[in-house]
Amino acid sequence: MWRQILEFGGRFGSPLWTLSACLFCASCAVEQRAAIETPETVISADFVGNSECATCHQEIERQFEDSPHGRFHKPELHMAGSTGCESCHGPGSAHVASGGQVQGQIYNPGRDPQSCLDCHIYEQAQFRLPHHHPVIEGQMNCVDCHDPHGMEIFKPSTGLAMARRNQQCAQCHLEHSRPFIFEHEAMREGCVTCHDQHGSINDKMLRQPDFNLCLRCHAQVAAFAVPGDDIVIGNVPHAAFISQGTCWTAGCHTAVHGSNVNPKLLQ
Amino acid sequence: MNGNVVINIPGASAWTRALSIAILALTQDVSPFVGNARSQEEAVETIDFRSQVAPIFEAHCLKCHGDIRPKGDFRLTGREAALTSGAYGKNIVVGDADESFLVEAIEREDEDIAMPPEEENNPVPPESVAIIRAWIDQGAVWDEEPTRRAEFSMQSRWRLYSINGNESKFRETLNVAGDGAFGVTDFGFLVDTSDRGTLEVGGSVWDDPNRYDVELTYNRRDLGYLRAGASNFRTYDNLLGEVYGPFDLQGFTLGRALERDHQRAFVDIGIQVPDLPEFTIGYDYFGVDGAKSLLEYGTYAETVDGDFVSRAIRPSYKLQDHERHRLELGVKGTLGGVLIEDSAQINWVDLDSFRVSDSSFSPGVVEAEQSTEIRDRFDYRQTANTIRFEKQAKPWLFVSGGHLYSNLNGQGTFSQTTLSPTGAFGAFEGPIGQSLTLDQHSQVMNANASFGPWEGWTLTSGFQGEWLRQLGQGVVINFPGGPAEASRSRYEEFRAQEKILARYTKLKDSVVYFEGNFIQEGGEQRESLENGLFRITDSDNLTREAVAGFEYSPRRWVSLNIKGRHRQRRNDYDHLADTSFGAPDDGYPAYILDRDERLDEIKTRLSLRPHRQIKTTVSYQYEDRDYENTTVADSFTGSPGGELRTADQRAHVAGASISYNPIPRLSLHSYATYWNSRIRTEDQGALAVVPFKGDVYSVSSGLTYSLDKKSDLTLSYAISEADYGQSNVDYTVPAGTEFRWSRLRSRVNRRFSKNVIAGLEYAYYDYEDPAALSLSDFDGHGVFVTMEWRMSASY
Repeated sequence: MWRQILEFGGRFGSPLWTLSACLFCASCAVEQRAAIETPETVISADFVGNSECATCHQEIERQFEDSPHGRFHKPELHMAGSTGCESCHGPGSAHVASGGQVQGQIYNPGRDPQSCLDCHIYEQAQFRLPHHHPVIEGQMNCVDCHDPHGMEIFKPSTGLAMARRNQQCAQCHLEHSRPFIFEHEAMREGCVTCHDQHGSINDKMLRQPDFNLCLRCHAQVAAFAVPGDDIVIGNVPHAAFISQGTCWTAGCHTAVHGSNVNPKLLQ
Repeated sequence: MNGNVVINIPGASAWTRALSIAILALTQDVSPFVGNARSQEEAVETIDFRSQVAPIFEAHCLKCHGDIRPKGDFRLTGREAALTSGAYGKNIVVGDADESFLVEAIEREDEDIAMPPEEENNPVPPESVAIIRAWIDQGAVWDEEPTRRAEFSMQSRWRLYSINGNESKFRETLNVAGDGAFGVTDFGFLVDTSDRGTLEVGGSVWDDPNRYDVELTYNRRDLGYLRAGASNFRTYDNLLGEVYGPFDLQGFTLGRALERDHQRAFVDIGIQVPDLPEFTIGYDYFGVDGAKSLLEYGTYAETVDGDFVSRAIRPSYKLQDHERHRLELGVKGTLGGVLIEDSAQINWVDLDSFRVSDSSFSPGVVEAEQSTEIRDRFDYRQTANTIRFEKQAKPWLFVSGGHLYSNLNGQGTFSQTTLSPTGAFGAFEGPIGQSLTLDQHSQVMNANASFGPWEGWTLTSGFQGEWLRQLGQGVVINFPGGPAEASRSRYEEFRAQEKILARYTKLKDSVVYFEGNFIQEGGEQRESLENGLFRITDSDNLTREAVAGFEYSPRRWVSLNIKGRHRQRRNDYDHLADTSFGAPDDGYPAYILDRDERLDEIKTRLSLRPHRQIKTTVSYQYEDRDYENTTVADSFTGSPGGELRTADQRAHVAGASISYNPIPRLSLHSYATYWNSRIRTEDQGALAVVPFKGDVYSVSSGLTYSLDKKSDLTLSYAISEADYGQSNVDYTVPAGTEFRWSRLRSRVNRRFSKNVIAGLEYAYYDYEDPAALSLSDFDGHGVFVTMEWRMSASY
């Protein structure tokens, strides 16, 4: 981010840009911002279209067309910069005219989430929930997990075009993504089966904080032989357990990611 | 261009020389016959690079042949670069313009090599060609000094918080320590020399030694780069466990801090020599050290209305000491027009975790009657290699593919100790896991093609095949005094994924695409414990997904985007064996025969720019999921088995954003989102299970206003509110939440001189959650003072 200070600071005549760019960026502020501004763009530049970008950035352009971002693009769409390269990088004429100079000539989002969050407002709201990955605080950024240009929006694992499951999460969450002797099948379907990767109203960024998280797969069944309001899961009466709390908070199935000693993930 | 220019073109043909002289005579204030009036020595005047040649390069060449991504690797940014760079041989032959490819290209006699390209519509005028010719013939003197510049910027920040209420919740929510601190929050130092490379150092450092981020980059053209850095940031967890309204005692909190450091350090070296493959070698360290909260709560009991009530509400924690060292080697180059990239890496991972959970069982006893400690150690080495290729085989055909091989070998131990601090219960050990080993092999193969020989259509297809085998074993003592028994697991999986994407762009003002994804998975899982558990489950899974999208922009001010998705996933299980301590079909997975999940989703987004200064977006998203299972009948519990709709889930998400710059000195930004969601699982009459449903709205607004040429004012406000409260307090611990989280910030920045800017900021925070009996509530104030210095120099 410090580089962007060098790039933008003092480049524009407007004091609005000059001061705001320097003192209100994500990682400079360090603390969570209350509002995300529209990404800074070069005010005097015009849109030039993807084909112009492709003359230099061929390695990006040739796969971008198939990417989730690029598949909506064609030059003839009337709203300039609504799709394609300049929807994130801003108008590129100054960058082109300068022979590819970046400094002060084009917006390069890099580690700054502003450009992404300007369109992905739902994700922006999720990052503001009480439990979230620290993206707005500048300690993570969108491209840590996503490839904005690639065929798969999820970042390819060490260069492959398609991502492997959980690889993005495994970069930091070493303990949970490791293999176990007794596995939880949900891990094979992906961490996002249970966790909301951007932010959540629930602790540990869980999609639900209660039985609903587990029971959609681990169906409970009617059990006529069991009196009262018992609940039978896996043919085992569970009423006494679930009065304590949820499947994992009650202190029972605490090894939710997998266990090396207990096949029922009790430890 | 002033002054006389006399052409001296050794080796040039007579007609070329004559033509050049004539052109110059017509276009410059020069007489071609001046030379006749003077001696040849007097008449010859050297072409001046700065005033005559450089402007031509700038007007016609540097757009593509600058330092950044030069076309054909040819750069006109310095004499050495101009004489030596270029993928197609020498572009400038000193003293011989006729042999110089540059001259041939700009003269445009052969349109195949003409430069700038025809589509640029920017040919070099004949008089400028003549100047270039003369300049080369005179020795291509490049008297421009290499540019060297240095820039320095530094932002220092002092902050102070005043927090009331739950400080640990404040720290968790904002990811800050919550005390006073001073730091150099952003410094940058750059030395850029066009001839010796670029050195950049930047980052942030706080007076808290646990918070820093420093990075160094050195780039040397035609040689490579060195990048190195180190960073650490700390995260915090709430100390509060669960809360339970009917109890008299509220608010168990841990008597220790819950904070973790996330450390990273790296060194990357890249060798980038022209005409050779690029080689990279890198080392990366990542570590997590500290304590985090757990969602496995300890038990506490009270007598409520004469009844004994026990609930798991006590907080627990885990100590983590995790490290990963990674060594990576890479090579990337082009062979026969095929880009080939290979990357090999070794990861050494060491995981050490220690969990602590306290419980009491006697009504009203706050002290821990039982304390459980679990130590889980695991370390592994993972080696992996990926090779990847891509080629633009035809203008309409792009192909790519790759292969990944990974091998993991790990070993670990596990031990659980249960203590009784009050002596109410005995102490014991177990379960214990020893000699735990895991071996995992996996291979992934991938191939993709994108082609579009038909007008308006582009098709992309991809295939990925994966194979994974995992073997685990160890010795487990499951309960105190129990026998040591061998545990084993074997998991093998095949996975095939196909993707096909079709785009059509010939509809007026529109782009439409269709995408299909298909995944077939087959696996066998075997698990056994020597003294009584044996399971074999075969599974076959099929996922089908269809996506269709549409972009429509009939006017410059409006764009509409619609995307729909339908996905179905079906898992079929064949339980070949399921015995647990003598009982057949005991629990998982044997009682589930199949599982279906269906998802329907639609997303729309309308973008409007009614004016250059206004940008708005309105979006809506609907999601509908259903879950169905088929289970077996069970005589013990009386379960009839059969098909069961286990859960359904609905969500509506709406959002809007606007950016508005009504006048140059005022900028407004605002967004709002609202989502309503409900998930309901089949309760079968169990009163503890209730739907998780509610609404969340989030609004954020900000403005920046230039008070004068030296001062900005920024105001922003954000609020998020959720009402997911639950009413099952008589049957379990309600897990819902009802929070309101708001922040207000105001800041004034002022420029005191060209290189000094200062800012003063005030923030107010407020968090309320009545569902947590207000034990997580906090409010607070923050004051921030920021100073920024910036300097630059050229030499």
